[in-house]
Amino acid sequence: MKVVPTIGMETHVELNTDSKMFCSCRVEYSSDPNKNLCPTCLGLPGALPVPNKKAIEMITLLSLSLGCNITEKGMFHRKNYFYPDLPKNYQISQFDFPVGTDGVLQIFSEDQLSDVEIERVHMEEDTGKSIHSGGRIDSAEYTWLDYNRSGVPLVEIVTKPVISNAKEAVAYIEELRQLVIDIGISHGKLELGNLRFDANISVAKEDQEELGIKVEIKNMNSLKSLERAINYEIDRQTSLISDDKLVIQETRHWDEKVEKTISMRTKEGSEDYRYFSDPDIPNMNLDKSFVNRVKESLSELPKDRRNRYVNLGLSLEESNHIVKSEEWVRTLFEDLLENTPNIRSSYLWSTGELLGQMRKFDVDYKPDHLNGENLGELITLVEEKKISASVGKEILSKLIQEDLSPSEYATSNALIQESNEDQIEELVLNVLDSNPEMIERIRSGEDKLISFLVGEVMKASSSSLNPGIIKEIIVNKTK
Amino acid sequence: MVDISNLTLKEAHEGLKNKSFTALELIEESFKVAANSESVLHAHLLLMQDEAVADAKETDKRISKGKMLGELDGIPISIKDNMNLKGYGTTCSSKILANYVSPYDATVISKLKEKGTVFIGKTNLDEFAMGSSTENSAYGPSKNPWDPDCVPGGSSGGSAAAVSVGTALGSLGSDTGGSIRQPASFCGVVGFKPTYGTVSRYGLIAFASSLDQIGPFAKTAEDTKIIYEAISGYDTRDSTSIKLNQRELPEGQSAKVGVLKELMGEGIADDVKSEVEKVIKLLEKEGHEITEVSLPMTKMAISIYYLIAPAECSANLARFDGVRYGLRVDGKTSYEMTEKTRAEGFGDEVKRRILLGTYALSAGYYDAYYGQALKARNQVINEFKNVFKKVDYLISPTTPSTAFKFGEKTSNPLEMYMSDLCTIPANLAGIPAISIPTGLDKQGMPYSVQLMSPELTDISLLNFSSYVEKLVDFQDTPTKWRKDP
Amino acid sequence: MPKDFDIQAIAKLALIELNSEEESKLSEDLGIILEHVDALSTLSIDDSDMTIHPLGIELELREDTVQDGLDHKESMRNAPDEKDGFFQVPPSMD
Repeated sequence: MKVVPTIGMETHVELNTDSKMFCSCRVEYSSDPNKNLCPTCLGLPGALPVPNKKAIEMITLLSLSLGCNITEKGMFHRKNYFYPDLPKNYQISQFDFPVGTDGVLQIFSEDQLSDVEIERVHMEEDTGKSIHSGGRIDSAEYTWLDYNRSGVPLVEIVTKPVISNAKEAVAYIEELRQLVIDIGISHGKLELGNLRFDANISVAKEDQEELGIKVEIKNMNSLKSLERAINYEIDRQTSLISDDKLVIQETRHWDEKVEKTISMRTKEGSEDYRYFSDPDIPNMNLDKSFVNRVKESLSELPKDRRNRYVNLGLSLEESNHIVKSEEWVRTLFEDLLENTPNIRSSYLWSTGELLGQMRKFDVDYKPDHLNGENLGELITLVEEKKISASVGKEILSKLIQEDLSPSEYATSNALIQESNEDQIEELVLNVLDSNPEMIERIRSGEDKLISFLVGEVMKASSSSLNPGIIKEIIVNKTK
Repeated sequence: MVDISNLTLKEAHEGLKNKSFTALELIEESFKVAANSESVLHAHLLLMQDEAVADAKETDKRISKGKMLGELDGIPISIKDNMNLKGYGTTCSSKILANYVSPYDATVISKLKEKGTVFIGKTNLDEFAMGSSTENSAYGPSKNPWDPDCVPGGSSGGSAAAVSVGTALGSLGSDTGGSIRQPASFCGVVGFKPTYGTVSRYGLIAFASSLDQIGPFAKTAEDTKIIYEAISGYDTRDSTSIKLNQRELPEGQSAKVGVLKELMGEGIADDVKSEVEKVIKLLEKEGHEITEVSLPMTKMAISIYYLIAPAECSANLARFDGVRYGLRVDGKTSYEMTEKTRAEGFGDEVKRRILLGTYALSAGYYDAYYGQALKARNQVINEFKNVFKKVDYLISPTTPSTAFKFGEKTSNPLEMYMSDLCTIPANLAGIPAISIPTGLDKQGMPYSVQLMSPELTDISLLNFSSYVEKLVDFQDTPTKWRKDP
Repeated sequence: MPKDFDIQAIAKLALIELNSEEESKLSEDLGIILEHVDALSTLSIDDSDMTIHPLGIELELREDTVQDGLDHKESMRNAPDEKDGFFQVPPSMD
């Protein structure tokens, strides 16, 4: 039966401020538990929160880059619930006056661009970390708590329920991740928990007007698990409604090992967070002058960069690929644009060949000496057919290991090949004259002889020749 | 011999400065009074004699070098046990914090330390500052020095008693709905609640965040002014702390005084009313313009307060869960552990308020209860604003009666709440308010009046209070508590 | 007292264990208090700002600089139970 899945994403982004959201403790990934604490982030009695200006600037910057409206009178709310990793047993968050509302994020999915509407962007604080031993209540096990992460600034971004499949959801996260990296507010490393996401999924019969029952899926730690989890859940819900069964509104965990979403033990009663405005924090005033000041630091967004590359000649997919690459790749690519004649070759060499060779040589980071100038020089040599592509790749492997000038290297190693067509034509004609019977045989279909002749032409020359051009001329002459 | 029970803070400072006595002698007198009174009055939960003696010796060194740190150097001050003093216990008179040792100083403590203040100890309170008599303390109540069968008031009962009896020349309390002014009234001392935001709350264990303020007790308004000036000021660690400057009001004969109609009627004992009228007459004689003013929302004050304060406290006290500090009662899961810890660690009144607050905020009830209370609070603020366009100060009773006896108001929670009738409005509006003693009733229990003024006129209010003190001229000290009079 | 006043549900939200005696006493107490505060609901206050802070204080944001807080020992000093530098509690259900 035909169903229409609807997905909404909730994403938490850890901001890379120096200090925490409501206190001056260091934000640091430390293996020493409970190292960076103070009365405020440890939830000691008598402690008070003081909001971090940089965090507010960052969330405003993010909201602006998503085209959101900025709420002038921002308010912090207390979200009340008990959990050991939440020191005050309430989280300072935002409820009905979030910093940003009604934005949009352009994503690239399945070969096209589309817009994902953003419902809200709000500020909150992170909790500490719990480590559970065992996992069964009935054995004498423990939970261990580390509050280093408690109080780290988090931005929550909630989309409207407008995503229609798993691939789109993944593309959304990829785009959001790139955005927060590009505007400089987060390191965006999924494996470190800089970006965490939950999905809200429902399915409805094709002709149904209202959305189906919404199920929240948590515990997806990678883009792969996001995709798998969404697909699993869509299937699960589809089977249920095909059998005319009800989908229960609940929260489910994605279990990576068994590749299923599992219903969480429902606590007695649903959560009542009893939101109320935090009396320890007066209203924020995000007035026009503040917003304008933040706007000034808005630089090129991923979607604008993607458009720019398309206008310069790359395909959408290629542009997207560069936009989503690591920063050094993008910087190198931008440098190459100034140093080579052809955007596509810049793209192919920087994303394909270079990365491939680095992997082959087990080089994790771009060598310092390698830059747009020397790599650009190399690419230009190939583009101008002064060296063949395979020679180019050889020189690149040298360039990865040591600082050199590709043109000097090529010259001193006699790798520059003649590409002057007139000169090559002369040599071809000479060889053809010496091998007249070959011309007849090639005309009657013995294409293998072309390679033989190419070899003969190359032998006949003291300098390196462009084999492609030789072949072209031979083919022309033997028609 | 220093007769510390009959000395004001200012006089003690003069005595030290003029070398009439040493700081060590002064502190020794404090502890003599403590030794004589604590077994009867139980004003303190902790006495810090060794530290106090060491600090006093430091003061004496400074005096000999001519380098006194100011008016509080060497002065014995007691601190309500809901303020963090680094290295010492802060119990909030609760079992749930029985073994909690503060790892940091409250801002007011740091400020007093900088001025060379000598801390005598931590005083008793109603558990988590919830109550009006200290009968809610998990460590036993404090007694009123004027009659140990009577309550000293609350929640800062211990701090009031300590000053009244003379163990300390000043003390710090906290006032959320009257918890400084009401015990000051019952114990015959001056108690001052500053403008909200002028004294940092950092380190004060929160009860109701938008209402709590730390303030001083002392024998005279001038003494409380000395302490207030030392502890007030903008603090970057408290977002509700304010930077705005004080505004001046007329402090002498040209001051216009308003009599709060709603607080001179129903619910106030006749003799208390008469006492306030006595003071009003004294003012009239001096030529002050006295006007009757009406603040109708005053009648709603208790309802508003008993929705806002419990709501805020239900969240503020959620952190007491047995995980990182304080009492822990074991459980199979962390939830069970927390549930049992809070059941055992909190007293009845605290539980009442937490549950009331939880309910007032819960889904479906927010608008009718907490939301409505916030709107009503705004009305209270506006009413005060309008009234202060016509008058400079307001005068009213501090409490509906003089000190009541133990057990008198514990049968019905509402009865105890009613004793906050006169004091709550000032907390709702955030304006400064002070209680000054004026006389004694037939049983020898102190009378008082309450003065209020607009926000950020604290210094003027204190100066005006000194002026009224002189008119009233009440200088008695309690003696009934002495075992050997 | 509202008909659906459920002391057990409220105690669960506040995570305070109550025995049945406490449940009835507290229900009663809260009933008395709520009856009194109900007078507030009769007030028709429209268009009124909800005031959280009496003085309309404006928030002053804090510069993003790191300052020393508590060292590890100080943070752990009141811990009822700890292990290897972590606070230790009975297992918390996820």
